[in-house]
Amino acid sequence: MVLGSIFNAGVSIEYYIVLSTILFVIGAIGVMVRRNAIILLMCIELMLNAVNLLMVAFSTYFGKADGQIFVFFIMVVAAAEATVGLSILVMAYRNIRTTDVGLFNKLKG
Amino acid sequence: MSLETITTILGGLTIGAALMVVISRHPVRSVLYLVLTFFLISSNYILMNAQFLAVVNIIVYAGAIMVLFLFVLMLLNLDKDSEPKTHILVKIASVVAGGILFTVLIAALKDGIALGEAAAASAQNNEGLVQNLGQLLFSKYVLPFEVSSVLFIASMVGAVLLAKREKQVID
Amino acid sequence: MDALIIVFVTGLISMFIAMAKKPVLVLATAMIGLSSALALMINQWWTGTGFIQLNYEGLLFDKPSILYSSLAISFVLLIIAGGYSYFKQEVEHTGEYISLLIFSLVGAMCMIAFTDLFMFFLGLEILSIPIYVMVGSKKRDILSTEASLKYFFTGSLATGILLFGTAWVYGATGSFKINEISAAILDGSAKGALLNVGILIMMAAFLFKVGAAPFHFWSPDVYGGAPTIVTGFMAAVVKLAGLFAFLKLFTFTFWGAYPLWSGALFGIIILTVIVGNLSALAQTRFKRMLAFSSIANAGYALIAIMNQSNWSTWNLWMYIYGYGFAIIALIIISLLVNDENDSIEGFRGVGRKNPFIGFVLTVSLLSLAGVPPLAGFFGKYMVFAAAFKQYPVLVITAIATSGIGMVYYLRFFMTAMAKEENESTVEKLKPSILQTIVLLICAIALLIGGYIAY
Repeated sequence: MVLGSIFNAGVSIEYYIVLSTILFVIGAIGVMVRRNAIILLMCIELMLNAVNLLMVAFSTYFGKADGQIFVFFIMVVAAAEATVGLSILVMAYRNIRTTDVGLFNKLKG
Repeated sequence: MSLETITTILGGLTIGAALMVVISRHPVRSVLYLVLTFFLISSNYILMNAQFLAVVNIIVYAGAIMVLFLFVLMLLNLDKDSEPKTHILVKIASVVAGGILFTVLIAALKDGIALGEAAAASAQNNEGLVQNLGQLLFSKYVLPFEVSSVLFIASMVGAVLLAKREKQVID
Repeated sequence: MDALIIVFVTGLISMFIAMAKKPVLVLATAMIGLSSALALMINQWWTGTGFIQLNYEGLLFDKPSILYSSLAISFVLLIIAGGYSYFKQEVEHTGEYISLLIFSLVGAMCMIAFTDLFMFFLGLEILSIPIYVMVGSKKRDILSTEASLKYFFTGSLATGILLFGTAWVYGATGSFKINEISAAILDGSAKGALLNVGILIMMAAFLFKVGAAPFHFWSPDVYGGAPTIVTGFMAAVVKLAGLFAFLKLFTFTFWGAYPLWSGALFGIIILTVIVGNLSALAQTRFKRMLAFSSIANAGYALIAIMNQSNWSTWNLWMYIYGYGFAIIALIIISLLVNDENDSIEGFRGVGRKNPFIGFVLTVSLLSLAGVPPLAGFFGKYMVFAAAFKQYPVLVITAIATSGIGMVYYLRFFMTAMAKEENESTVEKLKPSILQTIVLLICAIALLIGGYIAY
């Protein structure tokens, strides 16, 4: 068992920056590639989790707890957002019978 | 096993699981891979001794939000056949765009980041424990904590308003 | 702080009082609550302290915040009073509609008075989430649903991007408080890639939220599909909160990194005013025209953020004052006209049917176009004059494009004032007493704007 933070035990902060950037970019690619609205919402959750990971890493690195409190609030907001998003989706499905975002194109022009 | 090996393996697994979320054709599989990703991210939190967040991450994300997603998937009865297909060109363009984004972000870091040494305080590394965070949350950060209740009531009212089935108008 | 609490409690009460199924009660609660919040704000402006003092340093109602909050509260008051005829259509949901708008105002006030990123982020979300719902509040309308979905996805994507930027800035500065961040940037202890990339990512997310040019694609669709009164709320209140938070965060907090973000913002402003005005010229639907006009107006308002003067806060306030009252008046007139296709042609002859509405329409359109004695002119003049020395090219582009803007405002004006072909079908527009009062207040506010400015 390591005593103290893992950043004092040989792991560099760059490692976590790169890891969370990779996760964030995977989420962003998912938002661009997928057309099912539910998967889109999941990809946004993935992006938020990448942010959480980075914030926790910085918080541990600085030895300050405020980063972790911020992550707590991000989770609060993500939960609220997912609720509203899913209810919008259910409503949209009732009206249009699809969750394919490519078919939501009545507003153009 | 050294710490670095553990973190590298964990990181690789996390990236793999996140990729599977995007790649899987079946929506339910995507959800399950996302749950796996959350567990792996939680283990990263534990490595950093952020125990409170590790548990909350599993309870809130894997336990509550993902179950909600599964419910909606089953409610709408979505499966592999109803999954819309993306044009191959869009796929290529998205991957290229994502790759460029990643390269730019990493290239910005190539000169090293001037963060200084890890904080001496983190030798203790107990800022992520429940006691410490709880005290902060209910003393210093009590106002944001209370204000988040406005967020919840608004989203609750909104979700009920939208998702509730209206009485059908006969026409 | 006391005003914030009053606003939240008003939202709660108007939600529960709706169980009596009497929409008038909801309206009365909202009016009384918001008016007393406004009175408390004015009291705090004169006495310097509110009735409730708070030990949390993340939220501070200083003078600029009081100015902007009062303006936001007034906008919401006018919107609720003017849109009452829409809200009471579905008696079951009147309470929810009105209370969601009021909760959104709570978010806007947090976003205006924040001094750390906790309150800013929570405020942003409390502002946005009720609006996602309200955009979709016409539940059986496909367009409204689609607009809601689009707004939700772009909004939450922007939130994700904003948070990623916040994380990088936190990594560079080690703090969430805006005065500590700004100190760390100024004394040079925070620099390098983490800070620069973080600031640029945050700026991209902000431009998403206020709808500036390369990131504006969502806004015509959302404005067009949303219920008319919600479009007014988005154009007035959401823009106000977003622009002021932008000002506070960039002009004051990231002051030390000015050379980095000002270059990017320069290009974006030029693109925004050109794209916004040129696209508005081609629109045939009222709300889409309004959307592009609001994109262009966001571009002009960003000039106030670009330019480093102590007067930026006041200039931006004056600009939003002129813009917001005019938009609210137009939205309420559009609610009265109630054209199904939302086309500009539907306004033909409005000015002749009801001379009072014609007068208000004239005042607000001329104000948006920037004709001298009205508030819109003073807002534009102050913003442009302050920036002219530093950025002549920017201001000249802005003036040239607002010339284009004048074309479509005046074209709309001509349509509204034109003679209707078959006089026999003329039916008079009948605004309710409440709407008459709201329109009158908007017109007066636009007429006396110049006296406030000086």
